[in-house]
Amino acid sequence: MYRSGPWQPGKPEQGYQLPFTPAELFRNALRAIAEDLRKTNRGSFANLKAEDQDAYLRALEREARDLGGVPSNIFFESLLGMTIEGFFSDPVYGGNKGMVGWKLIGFPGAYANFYDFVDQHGIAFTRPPMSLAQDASGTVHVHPVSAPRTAPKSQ
Amino acid sequence: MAARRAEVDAVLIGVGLVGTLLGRELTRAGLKVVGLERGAPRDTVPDFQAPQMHDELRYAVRKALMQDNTKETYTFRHTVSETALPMRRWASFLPGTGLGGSIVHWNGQTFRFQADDFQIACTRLSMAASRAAGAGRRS
Repeated sequence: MYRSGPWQPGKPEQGYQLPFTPAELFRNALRAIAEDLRKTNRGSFANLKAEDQDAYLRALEREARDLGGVPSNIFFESLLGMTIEGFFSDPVYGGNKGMVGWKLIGFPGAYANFYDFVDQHGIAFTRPPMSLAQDASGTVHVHPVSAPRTAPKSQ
Repeated sequence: MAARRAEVDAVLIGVGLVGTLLGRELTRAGLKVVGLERGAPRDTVPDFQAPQMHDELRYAVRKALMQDNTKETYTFRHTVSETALPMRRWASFLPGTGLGGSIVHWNGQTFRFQADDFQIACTRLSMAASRAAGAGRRS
């Protein structure tokens, strides 16, 4: 993410223009949400009833309420994006435990190749999904991805 | 002060799709060639090795093969009356960097053809066929 000026609100087509890193965005917004619930005597978000949680999230999505400098709709969008990433990214990143997200949608994961299947048509692919960090016995080792020797830093 | 290096027969400015092909042709013809490229060097192994290359979060979502936009980006606007602002995160415009240039940016993704793609192909084929038939009649 580019974090130098000029800083000013842009048009939607100009993309993300807030000064926050993802971590700052979440911390600011979550602090503001906790404060909001506390001030209105609703306790913590976790203690709300499920339908009240949904209603609260829907309001955040719909409105551009200020959450410590973060418009609530942007926070909601980021939360949704991160949830999807966590659920469907390789378990090497710590989410998608037991590859449940992949099993749910029938995604094979990160097989190095499918040479054995090239000439086979009309058959179901029934092999279990494969993680980037899986050893020969099928155990997934969760750790930060070791960068390939010369690959540029991820953003 | 500029350093003077040994002369070579050809210098490629940029080693992307065109540079790599030219480099192969020129070296095959026996010429000594130097290729200049910014960014990191890359090699088939280990940089494009499977299954690590199939890391969708790292490459397709976080754009790890693209220019490092923590250091450098572009500003843009759609009309002259707007203020140009920096692209802070890559979205549809993906400036690349490093050895291989834009040839690596397809990211190993070959999208399934849509019905419209076949329609375009059919239309173009039939136009070409009728042009060829017309040319045949004229001759």
